Amino acid sequence: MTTETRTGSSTTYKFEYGLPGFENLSEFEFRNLDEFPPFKLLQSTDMPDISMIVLDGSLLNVFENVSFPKHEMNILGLENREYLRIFVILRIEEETKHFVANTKAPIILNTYTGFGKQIILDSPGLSEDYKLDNL
Amino acid sequence: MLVLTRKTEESIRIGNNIVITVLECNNGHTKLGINAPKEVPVHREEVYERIKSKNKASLFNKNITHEILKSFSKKDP
Repeated sequence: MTTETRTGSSTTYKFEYGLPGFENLSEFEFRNLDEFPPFKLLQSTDMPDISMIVLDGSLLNVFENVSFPKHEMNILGLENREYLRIFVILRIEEETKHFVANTKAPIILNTYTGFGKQIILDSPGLSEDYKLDNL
Repeated sequence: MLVLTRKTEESIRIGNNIVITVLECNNGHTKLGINAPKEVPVHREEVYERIKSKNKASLFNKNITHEILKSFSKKDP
């Protein structure tokens, strides 16, 4: 099974814990923004007004040496990185009107089971306001 | 809010399977040990609140985001 399968086009993941701030929303869809690759839209299936721009974390080169907490991996049934996919939520910074990515609280997915979770990492070098300069 | 006073090495039980123990108390800092099932998320409150607030600030606003996406996105070759 390819890790690209579920988030290749438009794909739904179950978030048992919702997202911080949206704990009651348990299912989100990753939708392509066809006009604006590589960005995607993470949209609640229950409340479509709740959506955020996300980006594949592998494009940022910040997670290669990050050790994901074992208990978080276990919650999603991830024994290793084979089916792990990482996304970061983007926000527009008020002052600069630039995109910043929350690398400190990425979304991790198990592409085999279809479950996801937003986790909070302690690793140094990660930031809630990672500036996107180049992709 | 339920308020309980505990000394070092004393604990609080929440529900059937969450136990919080005061491990150390020094200079205004308290070290807590938390025994909880792995599926129960545990976070420092201020960190969780900050992530909540940043998620809410990330909500998609088509008018504002569209222009920024246009300037940022590269097309596939």
